[in-house]
Amino acid sequence: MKRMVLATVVAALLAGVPAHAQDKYVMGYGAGT
Amino acid sequence: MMALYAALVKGFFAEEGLTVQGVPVDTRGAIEQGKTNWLTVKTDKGLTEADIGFLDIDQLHYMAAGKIGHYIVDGMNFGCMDVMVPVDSPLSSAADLKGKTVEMNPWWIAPFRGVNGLTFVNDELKNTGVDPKDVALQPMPWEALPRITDYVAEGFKSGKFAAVGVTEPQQFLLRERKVAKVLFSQTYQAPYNQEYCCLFGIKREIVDRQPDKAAAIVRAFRRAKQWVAENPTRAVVTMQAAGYYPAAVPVVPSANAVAAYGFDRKVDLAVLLEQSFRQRIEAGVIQTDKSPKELVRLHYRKFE
Repeated sequence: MKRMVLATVVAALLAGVPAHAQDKYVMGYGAGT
Repeated sequence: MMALYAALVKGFFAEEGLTVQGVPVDTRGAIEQGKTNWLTVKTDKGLTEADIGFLDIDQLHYMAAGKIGHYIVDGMNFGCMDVMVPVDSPLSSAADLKGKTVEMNPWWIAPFRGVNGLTFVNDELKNTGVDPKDVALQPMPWEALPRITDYVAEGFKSGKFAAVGVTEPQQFLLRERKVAKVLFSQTYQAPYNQEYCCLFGIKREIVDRQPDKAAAIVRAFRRAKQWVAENPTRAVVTMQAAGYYPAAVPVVPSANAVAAYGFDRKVDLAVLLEQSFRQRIEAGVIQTDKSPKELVRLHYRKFE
């Protein structure tokens, strides 16, 4: 049973569920001038 | 860049519930450390890629090679660069640059910008019958940039170079101080102003894993583009007051250029990108076994 739960969690992570949702973003601007 | 500044200053990101911190890209660091993405910013962890920001059409060779960690999600502006000569120069077209030295911004170089340097420079030389190899295209020293008008005036006077390649807003300073005039322009000349020179990108993992956030970022960016297109003079003055755009740059020429950049131009970006990839494959700038359409599918994400 424990093994099934662990497998389900691992499958969810591999499916792309983010560990934490990003809520702040860095925007790069300027060309060098 | 005006649309990026506007998205921050006018609060379009905030209105979408987004927290976005603007950070200037570290172009010098990116080039000196051999980075392949212009969206490189300095953090306490060293140079890293920003989450969102501008991408450059002359970095499509790196994108096709899988070396850009962002998707293209929208277009930004059509042109921002000029090649200039002294105001009293007899040179009247790119054809006259044969055998001459042109100093250009230090980020106009290959391989950072294409394997042969900037497309619009190479194409204008070829279109006027000049082999780009017959023109000495050299980077300006980084140290010259904070005093570019004096540096260019001295270089013209001493004969160190016959022309310079500059990027917004440098040309407006050079024109106002009567140091230089435009020889050819990416902003005001077809076909160069039919292609986005600057694009908007979002990190691939954000688009793939947070599509709702990515959509909100694109919406905010588009509202910023529209506001800038409708308010070019106000945009310049507002961004100067906010410290994003240099206060010394003359307002009217800047606003004229902003209006010409086509922030509100309605185009099919997938079609434009396919053309840009195709032209660079045919020119040998991009080496790939993939078709232009396939490259668009891999690197562009459309948001309605």
